[in-house]
Amino acid sequence: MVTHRNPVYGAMGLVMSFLSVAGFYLLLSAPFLAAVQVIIYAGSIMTLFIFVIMLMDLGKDKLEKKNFQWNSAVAALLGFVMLLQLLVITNIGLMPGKMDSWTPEKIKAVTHTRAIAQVLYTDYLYPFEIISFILVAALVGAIILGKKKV
Amino acid sequence: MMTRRNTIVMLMCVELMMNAVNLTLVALSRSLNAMNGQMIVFFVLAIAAAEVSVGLAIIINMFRQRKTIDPDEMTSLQG
Repeated sequence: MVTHRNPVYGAMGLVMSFLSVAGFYLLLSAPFLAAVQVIIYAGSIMTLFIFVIMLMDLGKDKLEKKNFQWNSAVAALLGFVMLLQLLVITNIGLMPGKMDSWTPEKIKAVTHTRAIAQVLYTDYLYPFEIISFILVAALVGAIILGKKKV
Repeated sequence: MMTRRNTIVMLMCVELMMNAVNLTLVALSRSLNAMNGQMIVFFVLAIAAAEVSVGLAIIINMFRQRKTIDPDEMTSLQG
């Protein structure tokens, strides 16, 4: 996805990677999140991207070759340190114990959608309300920015 | 090393990184028997939708005014 010069090919690759992430969610016993991923990411967000690419008619992208840069070296080093940390944490047994009682069997028993709803409307009620305000603000902002005369 | 000159592709790359973090959150919440990670993924999804809509509106305005979406061309503030 990142290496294609044509942005439309990049968008198609991004759709494929979103769908495969949805498959991972299914394997991790989160079918509701997989459905949401397919509908929101692969459906609406990618439609928006492809619409905008189509509106602009950009043609091929220029890829510039650059010489060695320090920031990419630092980024690679930081990524390596992160990987080492993950390996150390998972191997030495520093993982915290089970935080809650939502085992996959319990989630399957009450269905995943109901499990999400139970947590969302009790413990996460205020974030849920705040997120709805943010969505309304984004809606209004996008409409105002997208009007013909700003 | 390659660099990009396209704001839309940069935005798509941000989405890809967000998806990676979402995947780790779901995996950890599965392994810790918790629901919190999946809740965070839920909120990240909503924020991503908001971010993409506003970002693409900004890019469309940028294209209307300058006929390009190269971020390096946006130098009217002498950045």
